[in-house]
Amino acid sequence: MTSHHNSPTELMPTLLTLRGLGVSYGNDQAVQGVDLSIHQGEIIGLIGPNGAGKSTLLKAILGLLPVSAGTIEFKKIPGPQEIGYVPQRLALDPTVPFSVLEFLSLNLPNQRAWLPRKNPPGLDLIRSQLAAVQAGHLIDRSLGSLSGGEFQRITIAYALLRSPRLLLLDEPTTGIDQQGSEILENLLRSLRNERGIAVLIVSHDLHLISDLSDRVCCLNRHMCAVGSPTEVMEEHFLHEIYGRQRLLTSARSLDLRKPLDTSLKSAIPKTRKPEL
Amino acid sequence: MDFWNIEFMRNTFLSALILGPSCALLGVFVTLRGMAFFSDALAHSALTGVALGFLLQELFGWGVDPMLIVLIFSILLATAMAYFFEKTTLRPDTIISFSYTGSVAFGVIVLSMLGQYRIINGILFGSIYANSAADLYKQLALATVILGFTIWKLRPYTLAILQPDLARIQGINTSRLNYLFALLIALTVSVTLKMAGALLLSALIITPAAAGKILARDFRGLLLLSPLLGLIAAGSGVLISYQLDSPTGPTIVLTNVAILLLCLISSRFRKAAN
Repeated sequence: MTSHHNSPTELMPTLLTLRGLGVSYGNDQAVQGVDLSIHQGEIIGLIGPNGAGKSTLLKAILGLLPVSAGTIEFKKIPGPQEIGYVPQRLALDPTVPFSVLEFLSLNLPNQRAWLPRKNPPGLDLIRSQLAAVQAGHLIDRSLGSLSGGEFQRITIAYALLRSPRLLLLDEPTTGIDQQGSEILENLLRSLRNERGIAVLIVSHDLHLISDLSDRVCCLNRHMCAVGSPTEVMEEHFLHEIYGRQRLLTSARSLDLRKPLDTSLKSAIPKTRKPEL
Repeated sequence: MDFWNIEFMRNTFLSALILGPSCALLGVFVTLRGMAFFSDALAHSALTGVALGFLLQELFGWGVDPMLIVLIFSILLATAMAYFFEKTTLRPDTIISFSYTGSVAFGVIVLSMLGQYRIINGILFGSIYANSAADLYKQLALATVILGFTIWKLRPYTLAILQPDLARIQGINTSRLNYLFALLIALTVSVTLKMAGALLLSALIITPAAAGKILARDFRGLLLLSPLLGLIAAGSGVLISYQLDSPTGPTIVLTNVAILLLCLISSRFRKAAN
């Protein structure tokens, strides 16, 4: 099912392989038949309509949901091999005083007892990861006072503390302005280029996905199509997947004239009807 | 200090110094999790626990420590509510409301049938005269358990409150932690009942944590300030009640509320000054 051509990361080692993955809630088959491999340093965009199972797929990869079919294989690499998760939001009431430093110190590796301190043992590591996401100045701010974009960068810094090889981001641009979205895009690119971190990003922002991703995975419960952004994000195909009107009429960078790639066509089951 | 020579006043004062900060520390997490109503409901239904103690005495002649019966009943009620949260589509506040009103109604009926209606007053508002040295030891044990839980589980529990998924991917069993925490509230209710009474005791848990939240600038500040405010309110509440000859539990609660109002006013001024 997988089709990708000339991906810059094609020759990099595979980090994560999903084979025929299915996840169900009781009798409800939320996701079915997902085949996807993620290479080191590769950015993969995960798109699909609401209810397509995108967040379910992330949770299955994180081990938060049991797999009902297929396998998830995370390649063992010496050294740190954590998957970093960047959630969309916190469950915490934003009026509760909780500083950025305190939040980050929760994820410092190798700590036995945690107490919120002004000067935690891994302060240098925290500072360096904050600097990496251009948020060094936010260290003493309270979480509730951050803008959406700032908060997103803090949660990325949180994940970076464990030196992940793969970052999973769940709709990071929801409620974030254009500028914040561009900062995020550059940040993810530099993490990929400088640290070889692979990224799996779920988003409804198709512009971001098409600009950023090496490959795109389009998911709709019982099907999954993987290809380059131009292949997967072809207008007719998106129309079919999302079921309704266009999504990219104002596309900045997509080549909409390119016909649907044949290998991709074969990836779409003929009998499927979009379930929305 | 005259009151130091009166044994029950001395015990009550020591109780206040133990329970004030312990309840407040627990309260930090109760308020963070939005469980104020839950803890209030468990406190109210302590009345039913006491009634069941009388019933066991009446029916079987078992003279069990009422604190133990209250604890067991609170745990059962908390478990039942957790079951309803999971298995029904009713909102948690609805479930809490009918669970505790139902159990309190049952308790009142049992007490009145046993001819013990007059003790309801003491259960609802606390009675300091019964504070013995043995109670002090139980309260010290409770304080140790709360402090121990806080230090031992601070990181996983804080993470579970902030973002349950971030906790779970580190292998933290968030539902077990939540259940442990509900048990801790039940334990606190059973030990604090004598001091503050079923109707008012959750004020000892909630109010200092709310005041701490207003003053604190970070989580560390919240964890330090709330128990401190709880200590000040409970200690000075006992002294004030001695001076005014007012009921101790309600006086402690009012002192707590007064401190909370002061914090609110001072934060207004602070904001205005900025």
